[in-house]
Amino acid sequence: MMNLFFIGLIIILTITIIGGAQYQNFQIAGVVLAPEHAADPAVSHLQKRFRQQQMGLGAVFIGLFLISGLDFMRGWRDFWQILLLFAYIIVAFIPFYRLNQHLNELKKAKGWVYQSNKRQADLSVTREKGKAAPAKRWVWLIWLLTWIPLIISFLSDQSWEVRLPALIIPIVLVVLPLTYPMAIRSRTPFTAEDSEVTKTYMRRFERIHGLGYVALMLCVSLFFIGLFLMMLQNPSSSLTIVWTLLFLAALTAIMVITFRQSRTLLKEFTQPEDWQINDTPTKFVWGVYYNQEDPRLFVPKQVYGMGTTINAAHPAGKVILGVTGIFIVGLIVWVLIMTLINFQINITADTVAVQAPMYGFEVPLADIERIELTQSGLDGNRTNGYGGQDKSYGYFTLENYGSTRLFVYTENDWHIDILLDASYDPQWLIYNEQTLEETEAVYQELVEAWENQ
Amino acid sequence: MKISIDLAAETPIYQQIRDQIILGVGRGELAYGENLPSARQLAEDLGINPMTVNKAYQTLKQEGIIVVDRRTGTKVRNNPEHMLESEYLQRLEIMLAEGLAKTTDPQQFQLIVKELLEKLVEGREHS
Repeated sequence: MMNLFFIGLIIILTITIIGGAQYQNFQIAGVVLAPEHAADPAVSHLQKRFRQQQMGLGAVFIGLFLISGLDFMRGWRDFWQILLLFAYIIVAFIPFYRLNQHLNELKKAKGWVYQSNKRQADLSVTREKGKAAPAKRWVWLIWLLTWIPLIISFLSDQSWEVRLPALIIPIVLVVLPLTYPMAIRSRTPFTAEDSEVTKTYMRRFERIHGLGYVALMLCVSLFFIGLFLMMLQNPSSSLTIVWTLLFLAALTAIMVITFRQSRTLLKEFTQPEDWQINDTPTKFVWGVYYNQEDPRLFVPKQVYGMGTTINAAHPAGKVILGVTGIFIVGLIVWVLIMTLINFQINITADTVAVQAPMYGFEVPLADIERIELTQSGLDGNRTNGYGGQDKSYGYFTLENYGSTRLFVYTENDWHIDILLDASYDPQWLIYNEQTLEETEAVYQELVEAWENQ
Repeated sequence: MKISIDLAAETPIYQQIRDQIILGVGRGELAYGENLPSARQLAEDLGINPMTVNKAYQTLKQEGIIVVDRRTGTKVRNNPEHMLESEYLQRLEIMLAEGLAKTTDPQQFQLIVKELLEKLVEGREHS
């Protein structure tokens, strides 16, 4: 959460710089266009307008992000930045969607139709598909690397709070080897008279895409292993940013190289006029494929070579997308609650209770051994909890304290240190308010209640 | 061997695939025992539903042209019957009769049938 500001800026800058209106694989914003039509001034005008809208949006959101650095935003920074990030991801889609709509309208108005009723397949080429790329065992072998964090967490005797994220990595990344066969196979955009020519093209295409996929998998696996090790070693925030930037740069490089190589390959074998541009009629509702006439659950994505997506009109598709949607909305709400709700202390005649989302805690005053008001910076690692720019709460491992139950506002370096008896783990409970005065008042009240119990 | 289909044609797509595979075997472009691509892969390359290719394969299997094995995949049958089944001969007779019924020149029709057959056998010998 400490890096949210930078993560937000990186996301906005990346989307603004990359754009998304380039002509690639006969498509602009998911709309199929022939090379000569893609160069039409009307199309260029739409592309230019899209770029302007995207740059404008980027500038507005970067400005809004920078506002969070101002003094009056104290206490609201995390909430503001998360809200902006989610809002940007949604809003950034609008120019893309509008470009898609305008290009489709333009195609209709100009009568650019590429639907051909004739289809051809070379059986000897079709039969060979999927054989020239690196074997499946290599991607599964790389996937095995993603278990390293879990193995390390067991060897270094970490708690389950550390082991659990380490276990999630291979479970989530299993999708990469599973989708590998789909990623390397593609329809050949031409059928040469001599089958051997088409076969050679197809083999080289599969090698390029297969190696690209293997490199991508290696990159993702190493990123997560590195990130996990950094988290264990109590990393400085700048190191994780550098690592993430390196990862994004490597990922972009792999994708650019793969696409460039496949484009060069296509040009080597064919002339643009020979390319079979297939404009399959598709139905997309807000970026989600929805076609009641299509019995398939998994369908190829509208954008060439980007894998498969789910048909939302399929009953199973509705369930999958519904559950995913609920999960995403739940996650957003959860994050916003964590940033928005402040923790509170409640002192009674015989107990002290801290109310906080998910990490609330109550302890009898009789179990307190010592109470101190101290001033010091709290350095350490989050084990399980929320660590934002304005406040941190949950379980942390701190220098000079060890395992601690923490409820602090980070701007105030005064805090109440409560040592509990040996039956508690963690033994330390650290609490403060937003200002020294408020913290002192709570301290007085707490000491009084503790002494009079 | 190349398979071409026409989505706008009156003949169903599965029938077009079935006919072309039979023609391929007849001409020798597809050898006995030769592997055919999986239904999913062929459907992907033709941009059609895999169920359509499956239907073509099932028809060919029922007609004894191909064999479908879960482990080794789909193949052209490599031990065709020595003698043609009576049902096929009956169909052939009807087809020939249909041709004769439509022409006033039986000699010319006979010549066309002979040429077609020779072309198929010749293609087979060359492959």
